[in-house]
Amino acid sequence: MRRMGPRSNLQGMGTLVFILVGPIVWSVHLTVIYGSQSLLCALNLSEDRSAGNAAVVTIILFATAVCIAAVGFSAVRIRFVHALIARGDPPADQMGFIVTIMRILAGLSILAMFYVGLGAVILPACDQLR
Amino acid sequence: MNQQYPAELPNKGPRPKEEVEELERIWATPKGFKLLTVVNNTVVGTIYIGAAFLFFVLAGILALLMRTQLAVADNNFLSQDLYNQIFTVHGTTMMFLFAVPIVEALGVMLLPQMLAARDLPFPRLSAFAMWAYIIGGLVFFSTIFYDMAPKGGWFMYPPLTLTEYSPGNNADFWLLGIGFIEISAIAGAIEIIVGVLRTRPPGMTLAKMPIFAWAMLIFAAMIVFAFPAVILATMLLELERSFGWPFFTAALGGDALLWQHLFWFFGHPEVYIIFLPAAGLVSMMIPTLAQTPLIGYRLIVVALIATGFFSFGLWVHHMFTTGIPGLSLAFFSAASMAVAIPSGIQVFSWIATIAAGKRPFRINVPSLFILGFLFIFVLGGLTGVMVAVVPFDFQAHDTYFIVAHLHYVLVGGMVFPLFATFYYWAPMVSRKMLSERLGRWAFWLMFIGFNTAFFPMHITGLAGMPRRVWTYSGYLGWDLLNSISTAGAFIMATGVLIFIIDLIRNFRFGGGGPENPWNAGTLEFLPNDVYSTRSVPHVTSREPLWDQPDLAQQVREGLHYLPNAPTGGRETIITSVIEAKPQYLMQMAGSSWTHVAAAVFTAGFFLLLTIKAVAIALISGVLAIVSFIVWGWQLDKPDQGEVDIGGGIRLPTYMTGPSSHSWWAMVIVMLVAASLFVSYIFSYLYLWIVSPEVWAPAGSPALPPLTYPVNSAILLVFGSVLVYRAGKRLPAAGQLHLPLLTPAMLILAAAFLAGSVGVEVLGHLRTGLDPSANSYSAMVYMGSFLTGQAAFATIILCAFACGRLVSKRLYQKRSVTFDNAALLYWYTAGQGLCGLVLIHGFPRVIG
Repeated sequence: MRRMGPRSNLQGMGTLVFILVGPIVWSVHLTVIYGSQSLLCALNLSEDRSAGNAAVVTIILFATAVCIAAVGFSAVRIRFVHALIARGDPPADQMGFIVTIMRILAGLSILAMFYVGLGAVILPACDQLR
Repeated sequence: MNQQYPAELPNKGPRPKEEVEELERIWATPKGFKLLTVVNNTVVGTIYIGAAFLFFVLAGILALLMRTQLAVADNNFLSQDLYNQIFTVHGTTMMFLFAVPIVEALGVMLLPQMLAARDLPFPRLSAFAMWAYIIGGLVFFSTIFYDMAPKGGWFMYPPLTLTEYSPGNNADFWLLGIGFIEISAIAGAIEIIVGVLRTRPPGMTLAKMPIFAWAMLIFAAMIVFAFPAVILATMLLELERSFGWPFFTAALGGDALLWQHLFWFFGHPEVYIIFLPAAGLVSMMIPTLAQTPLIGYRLIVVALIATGFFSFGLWVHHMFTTGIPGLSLAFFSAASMAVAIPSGIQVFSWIATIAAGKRPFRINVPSLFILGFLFIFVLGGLTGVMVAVVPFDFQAHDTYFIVAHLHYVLVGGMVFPLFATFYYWAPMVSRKMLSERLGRWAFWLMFIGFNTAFFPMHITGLAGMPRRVWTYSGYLGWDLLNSISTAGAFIMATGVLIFIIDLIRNFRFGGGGPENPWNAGTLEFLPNDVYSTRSVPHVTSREPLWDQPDLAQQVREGLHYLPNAPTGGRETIITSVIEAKPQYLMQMAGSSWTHVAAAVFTAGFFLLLTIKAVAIALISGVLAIVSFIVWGWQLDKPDQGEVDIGGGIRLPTYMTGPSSHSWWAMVIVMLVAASLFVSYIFSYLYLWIVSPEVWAPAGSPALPPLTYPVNSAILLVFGSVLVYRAGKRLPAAGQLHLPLLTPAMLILAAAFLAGSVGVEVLGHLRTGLDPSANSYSAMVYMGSFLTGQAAFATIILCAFACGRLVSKRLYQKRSVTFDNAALLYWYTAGQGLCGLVLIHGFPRVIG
């Protein structure tokens, strides 16, 4: 069994991040849509309320589409994304495990982002609804 | 080939008998009074679990008092004020002093055995966390006996907890006491993350890691990101109570809802912080009891990770009734439902494993508690989905329905697996197993008692009974249901009492108990002693004891890695993160008074501040810092060259940079600090959205001229460059003449850091900005406070590194101390620069 150097530890950290790509993008997505919606609704930036509401919906749908596309791309272009994050391929004997976990997490994250983004299509942007 | 000692094993037998004697001497547990200095994980773990269980019993007694008060209508068994204190201390104790600590304690006790490590990488940190928690916890709990306990509920919402409505020190005990215990929890989390990632045995890749290790890894990572939010919240509230900085006072631009956001950003993940390790324990026990590998190992790993992440997107579901726009509620309602998917994956995986067993599922005490857990937790999960539906939550919010739901989730999801754990893993640390007969009594009484107590609360809640009421009128029709609940609580308590009797009769700490009584497949059931396993096995599967029937014998005879102590001290193998390939031998710390003193004085600092004994608190704080410095001075042992661990592997005994375990620990510390700062940024922006009218330049004095932030930034950048240059000028080992420029550069860099914070504060003071004027001014000074805090720690580390340099304990090849100081310096400088951009840039942009 060979020993491994410092680079393998940084690559290891990169591999952990790679596994978490889906949930990380999901958390960015939630931050962006909740943050922007709260901000726009609180400030009521436009005198014409419908324009403000349209801005909220546009941002949410755009962010959802971009984030879902990013996670989907990561789940398909495994080697490229791993190399981008961890500067190299995952260890060959660990490839199956790492890729499986990453892809299922990506799938769950896409589902969660889709589900969250769906609200923008159904509900008014800023009303309290009670 | 020798039949008894196969040639392919890392070491050949028979091994010299003296090796075991040396291991026993090195890892011996201190006796008598010196037991307080112990760091061995099984001893620390057992004391830690014992303390947490004590708090469970104490908080349980408080619950019985509450149930007695509520048993009949119009009761006055307890006064209203005492009742308020009791429900606050009950909830706080269960969440902060029982649930999280006992899980960390289980991690400390079980992880090294499951990973066949000699110990976790920072044994003194575990012991420090334990003592800090015990001292802080006992002082906090004792407040109930002298009318000093907080009364604001376990979540301490302002404005109720502001000085106007909660005068006296009661609330401060919660804020400073629990804040301090949270630091202890973070210390434990750092230990667990580095332990799981770096002290696994050779061959135990991520794909072969025990599920409990996965669960603990995610648990600890969640603590790193969740706890800083509530630490910031407690800091803000304490500053408002003590100095009048108005973060939560609406009249001055604050907002009480900011507390709810920060608290629940911690509080909701907290539920999963408690549940995930329990789920991990269940995933370890079910395969053994079914005698078959876990079905869906990969899916369970996914479920643990996904639950950990999604739980951070649920906090607003505790705030559905606070007037947030409907679409925002939909985001969190959706996330609340999404988290049910990974939870469901685990439940189905457990059921599938039970069904796939090679033999019928064994019905014994651990399995009874697991089945009880499945029944209760699934019910709690279903009511969780109900309250995730916004319109239903509007009706059920703050009623006994929620009390029922949270107890079904927490008691079902954590307490029942915990009792299964006690019975299942007791043989690992006890000479005798716990009684099957008494255990069955305990289970049935607890199961029947729990459901009798809490199921009726769903109906009481739907009938309109609010939470936290001291008593109720007999005309409301809640009497019978409450009486039934009270009877159930006492039945459940009887079950716990029987368990305690079982412990007293049968639990005897020490080795020599039955070996692997359940025929488990994982490493914690290898033959153990004070030094953990005699040798560290090479792992080739997830259930090594099933797949390698001779493994226990081979390990006992020292035929695997590290059968001895080549450096003559405590040591364990550090392996790589993903593939678990051996990298170096870590020299570990042994027993000491330093971490005990650090815990005592740190507790003294926080608790004395609570009662406003500022001078003694400061003395205690200084003594705590001295204790930490002495503790640190004893670490970082010199390189002892390469040593042979078997299998032709020679490992170095010292490591720096990203391969070093301490580098990883420092990175985690930086993540904690970053989480705290991100929570601060959120708070700043949140209060601006709520009250833009108090923001500069319109509502407050204009910002200081740009020369102040620019000078402050220049100091930070120059200091960072100085630290970098100092790193390039570290002396070589054995260099006779110390280059004085290197420590001088470090001291200058530390001075720059202090100067940077000073310039920033001075600039605002000169504009006449008063931190108690409004929420904006309070937030401005809070930014400097946080950076100043990080700078203070960095300056101490820089001074420490200087001391090591001057005493010739720090040189190019022994530079861990410097590496840590440099990492923290660069982090602090980065945080300082971000703070400057926010404080000086944002108002200019919006103004």
